[in-house]
Amino acid sequence: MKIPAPRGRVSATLIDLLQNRGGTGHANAYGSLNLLVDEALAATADLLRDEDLQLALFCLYELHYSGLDGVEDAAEWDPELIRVRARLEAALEDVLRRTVPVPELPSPESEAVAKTLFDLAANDDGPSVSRFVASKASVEQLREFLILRSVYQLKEADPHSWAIPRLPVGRAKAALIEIQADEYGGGRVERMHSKLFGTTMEGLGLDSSYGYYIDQVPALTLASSNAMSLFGLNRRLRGAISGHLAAFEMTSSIPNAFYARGFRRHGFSDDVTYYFDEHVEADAVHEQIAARDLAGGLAEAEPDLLADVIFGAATVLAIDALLGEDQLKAWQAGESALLAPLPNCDGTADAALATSAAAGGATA
Amino acid sequence: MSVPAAGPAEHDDAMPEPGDVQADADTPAWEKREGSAPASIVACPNGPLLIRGDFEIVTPDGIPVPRDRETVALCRCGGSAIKPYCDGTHKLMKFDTTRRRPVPEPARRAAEEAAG
Repeated sequence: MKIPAPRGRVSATLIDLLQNRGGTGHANAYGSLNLLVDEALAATADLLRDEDLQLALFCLYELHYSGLDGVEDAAEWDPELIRVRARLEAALEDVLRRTVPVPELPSPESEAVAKTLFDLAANDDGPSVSRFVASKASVEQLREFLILRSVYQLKEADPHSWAIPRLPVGRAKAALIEIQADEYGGGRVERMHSKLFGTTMEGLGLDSSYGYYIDQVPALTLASSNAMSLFGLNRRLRGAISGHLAAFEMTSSIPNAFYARGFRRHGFSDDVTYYFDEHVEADAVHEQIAARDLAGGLAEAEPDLLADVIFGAATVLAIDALLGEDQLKAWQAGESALLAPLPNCDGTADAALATSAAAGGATA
Repeated sequence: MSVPAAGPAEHDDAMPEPGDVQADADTPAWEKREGSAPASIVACPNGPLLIRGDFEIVTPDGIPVPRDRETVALCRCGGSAIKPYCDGTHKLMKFDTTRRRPVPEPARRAAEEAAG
């Protein structure tokens, strides 16, 4: 993806270093980056909402996904960069372990784990972005909603795929593969969930290239993505990434029905809402497999991972609650939920929207 | 996959030949087509019926119901807006599969005797 704009001294130093690897003064640059990270970690009041540090970690993780434009692929395994990443992710894990409320652990048996996870999701009383989208959101707010979600949804399923080689042969691995195959379209590009999300974005006149809106997205959204990469990229956290996927699936089918309603309310066509419609059906299947066979199956196979399975699931709900709180607060105050409102909101995007709505036979 | 990914617009000619099914039953396991594992149904507690394997969902007239994935969840709480598939509504309804209709005394005794 494109190189994001820096948001502070850490991200500025990191981005500069990434673009000039191997240049003169290289060793010194790593030294000052490490010092800056230590200072920033000591000084931050709220790591989850720290723009500079979350962006820095996001960039470091991005080296493991589609990479950053103009940065050598080899930077992915640069030991100095791995060292910086490890510092940042240790701090992120520490915050999550300290702040995410975790329910009492069930016995490490599939059905007991599934019940705990379903109860956890059912008792979630976080602010409901989906209900706001269904009944109140303006087209501009729908665009903001898509931009915020695009950070994950344009690489949907990728962070959880890191778990595939890390799970033991057996029920949990089979379940993960079954879910992921469906996420990636079951062999059909046009049904890949990340691809479908891009179609929805384009239907609202947005650019669907990965990372296009990264500079508009606040730290907390980056933190949500970073938590997934943290769990996915560390083998010792395979319990957490499995629980994370389970909770993701379990909090999806009903909200997606609300999202679809919000887009239909504005007259968007079935092509635009298809992403959400698809998730209503797909995730009603996935949540059963993820709760019982993935999360429950892993807890049975490796009982030592039970606590992390539940922690990973609880992390989804905790971060979603914070995200929902920030989004609704901004929207209810008539403000943008992005770092800055979209620049061309009443220009070309609306023109694209009109074209798209007309093509879909809508009467918005 | 025995079910074509087709809408109701396609008619009888889209249906599998009856012969296919017959042949399948007599074919040794090792000769069966890939993906022809028999259907299995997981009755999910307080949730849908999860179906995997070789099966098809058809209307009473034998027309395939559109199906987009290998494994499906069928609604059994009655509340889904996308029947026959599950949309997660059972969670809002507090659908409870542990509740059973009480069995009348004579029927229960007969069942117990039959079971030995």
